Amino acid sequence: VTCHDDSGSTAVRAASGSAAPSALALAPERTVLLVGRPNVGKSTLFNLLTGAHQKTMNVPRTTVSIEVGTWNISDDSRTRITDLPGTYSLIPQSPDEEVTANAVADLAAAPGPGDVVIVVLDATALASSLYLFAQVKQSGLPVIAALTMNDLADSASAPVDAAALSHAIGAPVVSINPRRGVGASELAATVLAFDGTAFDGTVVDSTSTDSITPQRGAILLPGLPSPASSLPLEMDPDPETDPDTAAEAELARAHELFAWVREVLAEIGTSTEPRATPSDKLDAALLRPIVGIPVFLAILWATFQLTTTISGPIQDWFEGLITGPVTGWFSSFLGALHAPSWLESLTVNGLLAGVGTVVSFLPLMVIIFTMIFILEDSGYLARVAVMADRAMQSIGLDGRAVLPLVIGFGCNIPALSATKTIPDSRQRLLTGLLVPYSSCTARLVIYLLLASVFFPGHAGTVVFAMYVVSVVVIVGVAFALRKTVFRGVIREPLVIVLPAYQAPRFGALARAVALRCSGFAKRAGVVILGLSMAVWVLMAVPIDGKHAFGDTEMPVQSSLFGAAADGVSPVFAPAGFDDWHVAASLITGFVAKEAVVGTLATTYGLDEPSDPSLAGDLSGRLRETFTETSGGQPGLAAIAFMVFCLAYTPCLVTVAEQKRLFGGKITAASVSGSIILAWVLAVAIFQIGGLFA
Amino acid sequence: VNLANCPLGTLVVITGVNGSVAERLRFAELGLSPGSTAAALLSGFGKRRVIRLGTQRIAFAPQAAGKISVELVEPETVESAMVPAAARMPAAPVPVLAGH
Repeated sequence: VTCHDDSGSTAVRAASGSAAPSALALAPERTVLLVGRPNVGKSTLFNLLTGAHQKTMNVPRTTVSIEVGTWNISDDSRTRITDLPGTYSLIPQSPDEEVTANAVADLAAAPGPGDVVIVVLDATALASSLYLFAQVKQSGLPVIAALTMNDLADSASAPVDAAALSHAIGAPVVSINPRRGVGASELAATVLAFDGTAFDGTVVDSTSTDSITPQRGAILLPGLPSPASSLPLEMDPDPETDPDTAAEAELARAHELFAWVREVLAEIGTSTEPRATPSDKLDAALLRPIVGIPVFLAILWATFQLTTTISGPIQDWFEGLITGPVTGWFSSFLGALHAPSWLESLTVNGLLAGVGTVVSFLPLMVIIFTMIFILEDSGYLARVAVMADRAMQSIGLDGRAVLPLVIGFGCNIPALSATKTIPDSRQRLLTGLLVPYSSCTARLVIYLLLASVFFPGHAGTVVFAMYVVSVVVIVGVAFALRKTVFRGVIREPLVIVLPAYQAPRFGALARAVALRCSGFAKRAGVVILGLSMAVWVLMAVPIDGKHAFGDTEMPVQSSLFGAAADGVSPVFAPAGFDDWHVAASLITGFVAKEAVVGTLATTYGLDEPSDPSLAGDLSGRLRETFTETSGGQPGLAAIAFMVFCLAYTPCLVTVAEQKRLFGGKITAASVSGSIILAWVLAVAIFQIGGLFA
Repeated sequence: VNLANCPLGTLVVITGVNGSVAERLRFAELGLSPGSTAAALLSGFGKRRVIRLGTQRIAFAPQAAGKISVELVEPETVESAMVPAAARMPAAPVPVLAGH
């Protein structure tokens, strides 16, 4: 079931260390691990404790990412805190769970003074939370329980008495509500009380005036003997032991731990009998097809609309602000300094173009992150996993993959960000590799132009067919990846604890959205700026000896960019569109698909048509070009071109976001794979279609 | 009878958990062990099941639900499970755990 690898824990250590260099000057370093079940509110607590002092780290040799931050625990003490992937158990069954288990095992092997594990307990699902707590406690590490969602448990007439729970489990219990910003200081006080190896302080429950004196001693779990062996908990810790025997022993141990959990629940007066909660009333409607499907489709539609029609004008406004007043101001400023024309061009067309791209996407990211947070925080997203399970299972994906894939038809950037809602890192990566094949609205402009030029009587049908092709490509790529690089990924049947529904809180929402947008601007922004500058350099370098570097009057074909397009164009001969104008548009299309039509017009020396379906002179030039390059089959070549545009890299912002989420190597593989696939599809369409033409 | 084909809206007692060791372990970690009482709630989508176990709800794909053998304990509807917990608690005194 598992193999112990210290990569995860090493990464946690390394990441923690690099996250808080200033802590060394203030106080001895303290490590805090945040452990909890999925959907327990762990990340909300982490955001509350760390604020902006956090960053995402990819665990080496895995696709798992962890959040590492600095917790200003007191005026003279800071703490390194790591938000580990959600897990049901320290006996891992996925790479994400393995990272968490290894991090706990590593800390247990060499704990430092003051190091502590905070286990987040869900008061509405206390049993499975306590099971995980028991495993962590048996590691021998100091453990604090942070009790969340007690307000929801209270509304279900099943409140948890923190003092009684603390007495029963032999550990401090701090009632918190991170969504309301409650409990951070009490949690800090409790962590500070773990000074050295003994804890006998008094812990204040943030929601109660009662004092709690937790027990701490040789008995790790009151009522349950200490485990024969300490962590790591593994299904087969001894290679000499028969795996089946070891596994059965572990299963017996799990039952023993859960029996202890039941005793704890009985002691604190929490029934293990099924009890109705307010969430059940909502689920009774939302998890039945007759209501659930329309609501689900309405939410998908609203999300799609937010990423397209609502955010579009806002994006345009920001873009206009950068290309208009801001660019004008910079031009005037550089003109006043008598700066050379290439410097002005670099500033305006390179630097400001890149900044403008990042800035124009920020409103979109704010909108989509807000929507995603509301869906996550309310508990609805876990229901999406159930509702879309059957459809997504057919391509081997988690039900939650439906959200990013649908959002992708609006814009791929927020769709990639939405993959963060998928708990399993391998499923998250697989979905992230499929998102770029969702045909975003930027590609629609290309379809409209080509369809109206080459299929004037059937343009609507052709555009619709392109969306069908997009779905087919997604399914095909998913199937191919599952049979090759993701061959070892077994899509386990869905088993998921559904969190209680709750109303999103503005404070927690604002914190999460601000942090996620900040991460996008910082990490993706660097890549976007770099690529934007690289394109500018290609455009600025003359090759005909008649123009100066950065000459704004230089024709495209006289630049290195033009030469590159001319050099690349023969590659597209088998697809029927080997022309430098077309190749140039595909190169700028890598930067943004919106640029394809504009580049075609520019390279023909024409103005970009305001309505792509009324292309005017551009229509005639395109017909001439495609007729010539295709040997008299311009329609077929146009279809091949459209499919190429559908399948190859959507835009450089997508590349930047993929790199931020999945790392450079995976992004490079994704980009090159999509270009190869696009070429193969385009060639296949033109060549096979030619047999029937 | 297993969880995938048991009548909806009924209370059941889990009588057995099948599957690989890893599957049985995960079920045990969620509290799904023989003797546990659960409420089978909804058909959801297809044969997907949502059960109520204590105050927590767990959703299962049909393949997973089919591995949990259950026995109907009473023909009443799930609503009867809404009686206060105290009324459903066993009459025996709450055991005092060692160390307290």
